[in-house]
Amino acid sequence: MDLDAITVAIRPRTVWEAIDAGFMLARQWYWKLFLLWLLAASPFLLLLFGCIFLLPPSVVKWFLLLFWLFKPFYEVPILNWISKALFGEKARVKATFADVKKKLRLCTLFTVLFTRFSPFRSFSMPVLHLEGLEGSARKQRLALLANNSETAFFLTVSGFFIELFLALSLMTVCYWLLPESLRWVDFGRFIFQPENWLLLISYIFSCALFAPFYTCAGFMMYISRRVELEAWDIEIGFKQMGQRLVRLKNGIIRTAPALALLFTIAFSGLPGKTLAATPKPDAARKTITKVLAGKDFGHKVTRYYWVPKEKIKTEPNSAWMKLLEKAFKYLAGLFENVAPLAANFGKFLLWCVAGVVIAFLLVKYFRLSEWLDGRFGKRQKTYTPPEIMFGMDLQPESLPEDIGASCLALLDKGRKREALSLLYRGTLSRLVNLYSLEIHASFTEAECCDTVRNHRPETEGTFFAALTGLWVSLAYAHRNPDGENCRRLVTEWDKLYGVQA
Amino acid sequence: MTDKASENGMTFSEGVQKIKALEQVIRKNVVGQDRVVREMVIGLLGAGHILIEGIPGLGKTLLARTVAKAAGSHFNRIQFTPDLMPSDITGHGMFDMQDNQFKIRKGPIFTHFLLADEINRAPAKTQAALLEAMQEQQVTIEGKSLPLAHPFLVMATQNPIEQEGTYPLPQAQTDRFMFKIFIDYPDDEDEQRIVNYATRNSIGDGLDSSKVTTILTPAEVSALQKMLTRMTIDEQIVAYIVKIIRTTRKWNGIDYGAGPRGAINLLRAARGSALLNERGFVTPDDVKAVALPVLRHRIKLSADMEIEGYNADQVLLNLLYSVEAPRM
Repeated sequence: MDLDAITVAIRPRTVWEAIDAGFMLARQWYWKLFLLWLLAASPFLLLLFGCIFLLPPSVVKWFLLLFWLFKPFYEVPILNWISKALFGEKARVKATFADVKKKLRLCTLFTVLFTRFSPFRSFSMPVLHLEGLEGSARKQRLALLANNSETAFFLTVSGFFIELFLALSLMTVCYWLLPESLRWVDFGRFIFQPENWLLLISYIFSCALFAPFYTCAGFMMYISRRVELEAWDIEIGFKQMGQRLVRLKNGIIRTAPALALLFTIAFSGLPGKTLAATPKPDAARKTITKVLAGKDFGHKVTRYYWVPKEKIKTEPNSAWMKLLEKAFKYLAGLFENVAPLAANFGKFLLWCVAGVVIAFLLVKYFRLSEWLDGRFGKRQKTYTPPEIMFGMDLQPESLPEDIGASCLALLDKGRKREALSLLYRGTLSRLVNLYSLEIHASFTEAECCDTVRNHRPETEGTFFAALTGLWVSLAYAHRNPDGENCRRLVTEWDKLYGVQA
Repeated sequence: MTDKASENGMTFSEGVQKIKALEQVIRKNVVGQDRVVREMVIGLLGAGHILIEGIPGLGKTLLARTVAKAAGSHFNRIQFTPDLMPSDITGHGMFDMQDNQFKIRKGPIFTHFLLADEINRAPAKTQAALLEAMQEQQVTIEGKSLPLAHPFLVMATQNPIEQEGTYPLPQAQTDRFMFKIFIDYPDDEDEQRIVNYATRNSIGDGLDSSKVTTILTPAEVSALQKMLTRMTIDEQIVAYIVKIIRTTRKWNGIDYGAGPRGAINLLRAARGSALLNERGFVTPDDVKAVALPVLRHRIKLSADMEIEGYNADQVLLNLLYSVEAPRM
């Protein structure tokens, strides 16, 4: 690693700047990196595409999973190449793959595969691959370096969505390019049908497009962290300073004879000290007097300027003013002490307000969804037993304790209609409250029968069908039911839902 | 409703047997369209006209011919074209040179079953002439009113594709049809049966309706239609029907709901359904069973719903899900 040959400016960077720098690197050598990814993935792709041609189309989804699982392997050559290119060494493709092959051992293969499940893969891959650390040493190293791992996580999440978006965009473009007459499936099925080759190819292509950016960004995050920890910038700075000094020293040695000659020539031409005329003290005094009496000396000029007057500080002259001053000073001190407390209280209040706002929005949301469900008649996701249905009170408290006995008493009095009504109501109440059977107010008699038949034992289904038949005949055909039939139903009811049941 | 013989000497159980037999016979000849057959039979019982929508080649003409043959009634077919005139349907007066007077030549509308094929291909005035006759049950030619045959049933077909050069029926006119039935592709097994049935001992590609057993006579059809009028209808059922119809008017997603004619037709159809279910009284299940074909052409979805890809059936199902069923 030759720091002098590094191709980017070395300075402490924030993680986001490091990602930017990584993207710049990827752009710089994009096609080379793209090619490396494709070459790394191609044996895998060829092998599995070949298998898919021989196997049923349902394996497409498994292929997609395998492709997704092995993604870190396609990024290793990119990482290897970029790590050299950053320090000025442009490795050949063949040499890159040879280097990768040399570094990857069986245990490393598993570790690389395992990084697939790490959301910090972009950051940990350089540690694994470039530093060649394993086991606890790698963990320690990662723990030391990984102070920005959340950014690596965001990078992975963003990458996932970018790949997905690219894949769907490619699919959409393909769909739009299809002639109208050939669009035999709608857009949703075109994209989301289970055995979708086009989706698979689009996804692979979008991964290939984004992989250089992802790998370079992770690599630059790693480099940036090392710059920060190992002070590469200072090292480079010192090196540059040392180089400058060496250059200066060499320059002086080289130019010393010439300078010496120059000085000799220059100083040899100067007049000697004896040539200067030395003035007599009297003459000098006269000269001084003359100069002092000259125009520039001996004149007095008065000039006036406006100068602001300083305000006279008046001391508080009265006792109450002094008291007030003291009071204000005390209050100011008090506020200084209370301020942190007030800030904390304000923070607490802010959280309370935020909580209230969230609760308010949730209530509004639920009300809105209820309103929408009511408007559009959507099924409720959770079923709560209704208290009143079909105009009948289905609450267990509203019914007599022994419904069978009450029905029989009504039948004895000849009030068949009331007896049957009570039995029907009691059955519905048991079904919705005891067995949480989903019966809605819009259900007709036959729909209720179907629901009971589908969700309850056969005996209950048969009983309910018989009861409904009798009920329908009474309610809509205005036919009085046979008393014996009613009694039989009451006995059956007692067995199924009654006190002894 | 009791099992007493009506004025035509048909008891309720006889009526049920006859109508069941009719349905069976039609189903035997029109394979794989059980729902459509049932709705046709209900339409026949309810004396309502039927609008059938489906792509060509699904057996619409066969269905009409078979129903007519099984019901022992006369059948006519008119292919609606842009140059079809009202008089081509109703008939016209012509001067007889021999007798030196005007004579009326009756059009194909004078029949029991009329198949108006691709009704939306004819211009509005021709459509209007047919629809007026459907409503009035009579035709006026040269100032003379001529009653139509009884029973009289119009089965109009529409093609949902190839809308170019068509004259879509306005809402006011589709309202005169009791049912709008969607006829769809049969399933795999039924389609194989159809192909075998149509090609065995047959030169052309059409299914033969001449061998269909005649089950009813026109008089019996009328008797069955009258039988429905004597059914027991509880007030709750009427209230339920009205509630459904009124809900269509205020339902979010429907611009225009059904009118009172919708409610009347819903009850008429529900009675037919009750008879087919061997009941002399109507239940809410009968109402629900026929609600979609009765209402789907009587509502107009809002633009939002249409843009979002909803159709009338989906909206009506949601609506029916929200209307409380009656219990006493």
